[in-house]
Amino acid sequence: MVEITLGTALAAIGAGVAVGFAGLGSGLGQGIAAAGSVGAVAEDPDMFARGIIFAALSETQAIYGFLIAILLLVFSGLLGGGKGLDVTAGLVAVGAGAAIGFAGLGSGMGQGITSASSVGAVAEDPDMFARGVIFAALSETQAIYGFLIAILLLVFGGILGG
Amino acid sequence: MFLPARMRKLKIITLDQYSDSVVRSLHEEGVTQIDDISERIQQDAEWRQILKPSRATPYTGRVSSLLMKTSGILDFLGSVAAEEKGLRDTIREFINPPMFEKREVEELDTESLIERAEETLGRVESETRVMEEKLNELDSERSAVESSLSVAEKLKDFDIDFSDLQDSEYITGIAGRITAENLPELREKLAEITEELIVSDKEGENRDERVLIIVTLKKHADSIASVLRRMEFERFEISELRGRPSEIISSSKTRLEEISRERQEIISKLRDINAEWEDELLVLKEQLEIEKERNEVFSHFGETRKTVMLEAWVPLKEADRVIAVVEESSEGHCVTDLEEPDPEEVPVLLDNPRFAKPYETFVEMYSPLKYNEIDPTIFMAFVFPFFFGFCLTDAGYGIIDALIGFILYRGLGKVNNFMRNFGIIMMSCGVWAFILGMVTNGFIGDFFPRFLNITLPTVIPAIDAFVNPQNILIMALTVGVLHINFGLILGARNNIRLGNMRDALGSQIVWLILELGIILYLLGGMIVGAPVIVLAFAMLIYYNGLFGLMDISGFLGTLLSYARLLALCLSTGGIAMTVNILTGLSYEMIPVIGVVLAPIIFVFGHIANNAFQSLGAFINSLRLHYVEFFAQFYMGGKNKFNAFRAERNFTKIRR
Repeated sequence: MVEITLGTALAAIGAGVAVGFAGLGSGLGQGIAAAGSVGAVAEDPDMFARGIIFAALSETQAIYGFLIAILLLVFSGLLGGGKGLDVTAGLVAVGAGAAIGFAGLGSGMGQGITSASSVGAVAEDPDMFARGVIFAALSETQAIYGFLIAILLLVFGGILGG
Repeated sequence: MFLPARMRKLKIITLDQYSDSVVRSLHEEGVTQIDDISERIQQDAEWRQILKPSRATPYTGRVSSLLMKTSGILDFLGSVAAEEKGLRDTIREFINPPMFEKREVEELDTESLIERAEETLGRVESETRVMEEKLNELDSERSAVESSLSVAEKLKDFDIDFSDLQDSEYITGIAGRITAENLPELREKLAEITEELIVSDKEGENRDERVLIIVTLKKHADSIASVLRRMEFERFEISELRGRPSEIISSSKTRLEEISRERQEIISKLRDINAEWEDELLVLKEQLEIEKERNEVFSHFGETRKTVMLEAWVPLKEADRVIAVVEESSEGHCVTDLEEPDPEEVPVLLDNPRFAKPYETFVEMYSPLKYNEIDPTIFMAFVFPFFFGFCLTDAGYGIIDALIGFILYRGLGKVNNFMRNFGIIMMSCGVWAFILGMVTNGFIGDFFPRFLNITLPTVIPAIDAFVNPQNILIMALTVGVLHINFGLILGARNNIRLGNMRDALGSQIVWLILELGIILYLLGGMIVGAPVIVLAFAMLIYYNGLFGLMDISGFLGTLLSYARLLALCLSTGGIAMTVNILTGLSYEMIPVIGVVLAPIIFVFGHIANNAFQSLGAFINSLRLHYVEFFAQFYMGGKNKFNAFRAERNFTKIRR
């Protein structure tokens, strides 16, 4: 049994929040977008590739969450067996996890809703594809903010690269 | 190169008898777009005095119907003759698709082509018609036999000859199904109607349903039917059934086998016919399609008693050649005039060097360009693969993507232009992913250090992705600043060129000044930087109002959006690393099975990761162009150049 410091345990909470909530948002969003795509593909089988692209858009939030979680696991010593974190760094890790987790939750849901509508619009008018992607991409900004803050917290909190 | 192709409007007047040959030459050249002037003739009083709108030639209808017939026969033969393809065939066709050798055809006039088409179609139809009818007969017989079989199977527990149940002068027979729950009530209600009936029931396919046969006097049929309807009785069609259920089942099965054999025989004959005629029909279809376009385009022209007038858009660099072609095909009996166009109505044709051509699809997907604005295709050709590589940053995955691109380019790309372009894009994206992966220590995740204990010699420690991610973030944001500033410069140029100085200052130049102010502030302190920053704020408020200040957060968001380059870079490496960790764990920790399991986890894990990450890299690289880059300058027009071109995939003209 590996000795887990309190700081490392806190980082584990951070990792859980990061991937859990980002995955929640991304999953809901992707579900909404995929539901829209299924309908579009039933109307026009050529919509499959474009439907997949729109459904894949809301995957990003889960990837961000997953990435922060992996970074937290590796740099807190849980994965790969490095040295553990102290309590202060552990609290920073919770903050980083919460940043991407909650930002990903909102962003993923929003993106899914827009993607589903965009799929419908593209099914009606294929020229709408690029504009559909743009609209769907708008709500990714929040996840980017969350991800950026998470990375900054990890770097300046001394967890990453320190 | 940086602007869409320069266009000219070419007006052509020629004598009636040469119009057909002029149209044919323009169609074969395929570099012009024919404008429809018929509407203008109707609306413009001056034009109306001189010209009247032309009509599509009288052959158009016949050519269209022959084309439909040809497509119909090809579809029919294609659908019945299609053989099941195995996975190996599909892959082989993907890597090395069958090529159609273009057949040399003579240049025929419309009438001769119609004659030839009628003769060919007549010969094919004489062979296929009988078989098609027979096939239809067999199909309808099969469905009748199948429904008899299905009813007989439901009633198989009754040892009754169905000939006895057929309606006679006094008696009628009914068969069907009802829920077991409703049966007692049904019996009661039927008994209320009459006692002159026999109801026999057996267990149905499910436990909770009963199958019934009711025999009664014809005079009670209506009232019994109405009770049955109310009791949700599902009636079986037995009027065609003769004999006992077991006899019907065995005879139906025998007949179905016969039908299937007969169908197979016909289909194999049709396959022979398809093999014999397919090429001929494809050639004919293409000729008819081309002929149809030529005959229809006359409706775009204007005419006088002896002459025809048409207007075409032609790229400036093709103009002399097109004029020469028109002169030649009309034997000099023509008047041509080349006009400088109105930028608002010019159809936009992108004109880029060969290496950038594949990226035109992305630009066209966004929106058609305005005639006088910068065409960003060539910039995209450089930056898109770089962004893709930045997002993927894995040399191993890069090699795989480049290989897939190469296979697409050399395989399907030979017969499909879209696939060819896509192959080229994949190859350049793969190369960038390889280069960036090699310097940031990504080769199938951490494969080399983890399993072989080797550090890649090409890695630059300062940008080793998992050691110094902060440096990669700085790189990503720097790339973002450069990309956006380039977009702002293009936007300012577009606006100034079109005379929108105010937009240029308020939407683009102001941000460049603000950035300059920040740089001066960082280098020289408050005294040097502050005045420039204040100037930028003042401009922002002056040109965009107080709300203009809100744009600062938007601008910041645009910049920060480039952080996704880091995120995707780390996520490829992170998930690849996880796959490697799991591979290692299963090898070390699970006895015996682990040795088999580890390579499976490794191969499938990395295939899935590469597929997802490449899709993500593609989408995000496209997004950075569409949302962040194009938004700085792209104005967008509405007219896309649509060439009047004879598409020849199966034929070439004998010269």
